[in-house]
Amino acid sequence: MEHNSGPTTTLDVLKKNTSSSWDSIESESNDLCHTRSFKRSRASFPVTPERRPVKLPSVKHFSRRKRLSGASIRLSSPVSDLDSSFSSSCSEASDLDSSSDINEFTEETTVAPYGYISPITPQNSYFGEPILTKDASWSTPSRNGPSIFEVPEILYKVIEYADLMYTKVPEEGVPVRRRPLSYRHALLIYGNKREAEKALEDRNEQSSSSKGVLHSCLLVNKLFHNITKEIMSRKVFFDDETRMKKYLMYLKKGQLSAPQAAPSLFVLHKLFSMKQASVDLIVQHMDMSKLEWIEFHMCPKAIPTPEFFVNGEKIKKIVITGSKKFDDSALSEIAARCPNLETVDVRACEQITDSGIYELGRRCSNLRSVNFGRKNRGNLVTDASVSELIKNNPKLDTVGLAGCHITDKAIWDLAVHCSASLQRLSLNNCPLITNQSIPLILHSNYLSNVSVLELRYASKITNFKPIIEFKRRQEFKGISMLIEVCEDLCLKMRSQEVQMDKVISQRIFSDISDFANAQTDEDISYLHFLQSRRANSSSRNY
Amino acid sequence: MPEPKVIIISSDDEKFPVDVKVAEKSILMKKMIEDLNPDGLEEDFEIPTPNVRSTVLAKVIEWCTHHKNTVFPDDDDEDARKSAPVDEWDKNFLKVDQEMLYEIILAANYLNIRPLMDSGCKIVAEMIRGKSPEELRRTFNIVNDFSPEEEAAIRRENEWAEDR
Repeated sequence: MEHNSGPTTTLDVLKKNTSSSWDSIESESNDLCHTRSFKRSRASFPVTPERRPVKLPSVKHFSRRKRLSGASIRLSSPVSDLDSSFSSSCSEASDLDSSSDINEFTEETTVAPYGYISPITPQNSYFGEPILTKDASWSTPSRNGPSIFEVPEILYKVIEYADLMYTKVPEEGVPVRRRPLSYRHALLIYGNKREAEKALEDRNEQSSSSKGVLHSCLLVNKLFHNITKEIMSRKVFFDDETRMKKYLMYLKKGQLSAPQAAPSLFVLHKLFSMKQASVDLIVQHMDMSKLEWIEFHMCPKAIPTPEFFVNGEKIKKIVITGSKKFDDSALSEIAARCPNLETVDVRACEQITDSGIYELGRRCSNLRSVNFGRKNRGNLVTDASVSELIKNNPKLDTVGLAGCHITDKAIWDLAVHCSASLQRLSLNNCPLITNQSIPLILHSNYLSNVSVLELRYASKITNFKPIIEFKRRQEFKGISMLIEVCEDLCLKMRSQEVQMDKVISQRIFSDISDFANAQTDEDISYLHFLQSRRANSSSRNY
Repeated sequence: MPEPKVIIISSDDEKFPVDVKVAEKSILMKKMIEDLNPDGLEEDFEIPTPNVRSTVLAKVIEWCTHHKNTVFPDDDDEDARKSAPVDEWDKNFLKVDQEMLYEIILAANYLNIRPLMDSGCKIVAEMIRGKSPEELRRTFNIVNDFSPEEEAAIRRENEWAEDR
């Protein structure tokens, strides 16, 4: 046949190329499979006694297998020994793929390359399988081979997906709409009593954490355990101090030290009393070179140590909020080591001042989201640093400047440099913002992609007309626009809106009345037209 | 002359003639076709799949036929691929009994049809949710190979991870 030469050559090449590690993996998995399938077949006998008579004697299977292998001989090579040629043609099929395809392998497949398929080649999996007729129902369990839960690469995928879908890293959810500050405020926002009450109630609701998917997988069997362990080690996160303490305890005992975790994510969430020493201990037991996301959310007593930034180029996201220890020198250090940062959230870190932010803006030019919001010491963050950062980061989409003493100048810089990218802007409690920025900027149709604008307690803003017009323009474009204001501003905005509506309805009314009462308009010519048409048709009739 | 077909042969010797485009959804078959027919397919080409039953193979081919024109996310874009929800059609397509689902996954793994493998694994991952280890063993017919002592040790060691 035409393909006689092809496979033998590829096979030869492969035989040369196969490394020793490959072999070991294969033989290991073979061993694994043999023991597993043995156990499994033993376990499954009592469950399916009624199916046994259906099975054909194993001799027949053998012949079937030979028949099958005969078919593949024709395809591959004219060797006389049936069994050996069979196995070679099988491995060839899988090897063929793995060789030409090697660059397509991702992490998991290089760990367990196609060689893993060998446990489910026919020799193993279909030995003793009852032959089914073509139209046999699918519901008849028919296999005796390894289940997907015995093939490491498949199980790896399954657990990985389970992790992706269900493991919840503690994260402060981005509120679609901030909770109203009071009942009256809620009423102003939602306009009716029922929704206002509901919105107020929602703020007492706490989402309960569901039982972990991975934790269950840890305990199923050894294969599940090993794979789950590896997947788990990629994410290190704690939002519970007792859990964290338990983890530290085992770290100290050295029980968890065996395979060193190399997480891509390190998140500590609201560990108010956790001390720096705990972080130091964890660092000793972990490889930090794969980190992409570091978060210390509301952990006032601890900050990441320099070890976190050994491979700073990889780090995309840093969240350190509410820290009393995090200061300008630490932020400058981070800025120097992590040039590819995209998200920096240092809310409520009151040690951070212009000098740290200036350094961040100078070193990083790929920022998408920054938040310097704070309640106290807002006078330490001004245009001097913020404008610089904005000029160097034209891709910003989220900017939080709540409580900062920035002026209209910084907002104009933002409007000029990030006009297309900006989507969310918070200027709550910015005491120096006036009508000279936001209302004017929106009126000039800068920042055309903004969908969230927070202006709580921006008390110098009094000109709401451009803001409301902007909101209506955005909604006309299909961008649902959210403007967050405090009760006082909300009231002013509402009355402004009512006034605007009044003007509009008045204009409509006058247009209609003009139209209805006009002496000379198209009506007359239309009447003429009708009359002439009528005359025409009647003349035609006669 | 009609276009040459790829004839996929199931373990129980049933032949499935399909278009090259359909067969090439399987990277394994694609490479085989390419490597053994460097000048393109001139006549029908047989590919035996000695570990895929005809009923399973029929399903897999149904999938390949449906998706013959689908462009799947680039393999390099791991995140997009992994976080994408299961395609609606795939979801309905894979509404089969567990045994069939497993066999489709095994076949997809063997034939290297990554998107089908992904959909299948995601559906199995959904089945894992909210089950205790014991329930998982029962649902998936898995033998517990831990000794009671080992199991207790793992439980102790991983108390901190109960929320994972």
